[in-house]
Amino acid sequence: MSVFTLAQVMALFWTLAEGLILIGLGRVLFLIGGKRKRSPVCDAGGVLGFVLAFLILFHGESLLGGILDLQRAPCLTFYRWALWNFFCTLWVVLEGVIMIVVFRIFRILRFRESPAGPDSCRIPKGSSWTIPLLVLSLFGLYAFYQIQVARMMDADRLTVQGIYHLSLFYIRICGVFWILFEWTVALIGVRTFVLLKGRHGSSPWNR
Amino acid sequence: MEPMTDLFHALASGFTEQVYLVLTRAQGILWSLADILIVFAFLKIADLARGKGKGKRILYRYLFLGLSACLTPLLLLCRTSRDFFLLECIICGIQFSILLYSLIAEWKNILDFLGDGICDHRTR
Repeated sequence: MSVFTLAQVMALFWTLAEGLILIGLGRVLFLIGGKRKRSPVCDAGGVLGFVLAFLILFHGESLLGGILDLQRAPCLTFYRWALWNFFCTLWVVLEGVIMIVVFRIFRILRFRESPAGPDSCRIPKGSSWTIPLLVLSLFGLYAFYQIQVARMMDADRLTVQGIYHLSLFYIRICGVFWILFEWTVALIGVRTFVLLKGRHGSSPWNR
Repeated sequence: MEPMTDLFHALASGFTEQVYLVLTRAQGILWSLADILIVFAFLKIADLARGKGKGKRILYRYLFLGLSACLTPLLLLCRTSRDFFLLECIICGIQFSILLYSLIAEWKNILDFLGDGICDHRTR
């Protein structure tokens, strides 16, 4: 298996894994938040998104070759790296949403037995825009970056190596977000475990 | 937009694969440590849920997590981005597989465990 094919397979695997984790955490949030119904639109959207991701990853060049001039090396390089950068952005978005969901779960678990009552663990007004804002901001950053590179390709005849270097830099921007979001989830995860252990007593194996 | 174009030009010529690899190693260590902590915390919560339901303790998943932790420092020794990517595939593959398997295997335990708290609260 070539590195290129491995990258395609891992892109799908990571997207599927994070998507399933997000769905699972969303279900937990629904349960402990007192809601029982899950939106079928979200599930259908997730399945459709995954199918689209598969088609674009493995058949995108043949499907879009007629529209984009992928015969030229700079265009093909830009397309392939823009696609990889899209998936990097998607993983940042998924992890960002996971971070918000995990924080909401922790908030509910922490405050549901507080003297203020169950209302104290409701999501504050205005914070329902957090997830859409996060998604739009991150995909907006991706769009801005790729448009800037495309403009430079048209205007300044950016070389293949220049496109490659710019794409590598974008991946490192995503890396900053990965670190930020994953450490936040990690610390909330540890606090959640400490909270649950304190509420429900020690595990039989920790005596 | 001139300063932005100048910045992009500077990056296009200056952000070489060597610079990328140095930053990637540093970032890779940081996010891998966070991943290890996430999976560990999740397994501990799953163990709590199992304990309440009198189930067996998780063992092999901790061992696999330990394996991924042992492989993580090797990220610093990768000489090419290709080597880094291959090693990261193995490490992330192990960690995501543990998370996915645990999510599926412990689903009922965890929902019952978290759901108990809601019932206790409502009956007070």
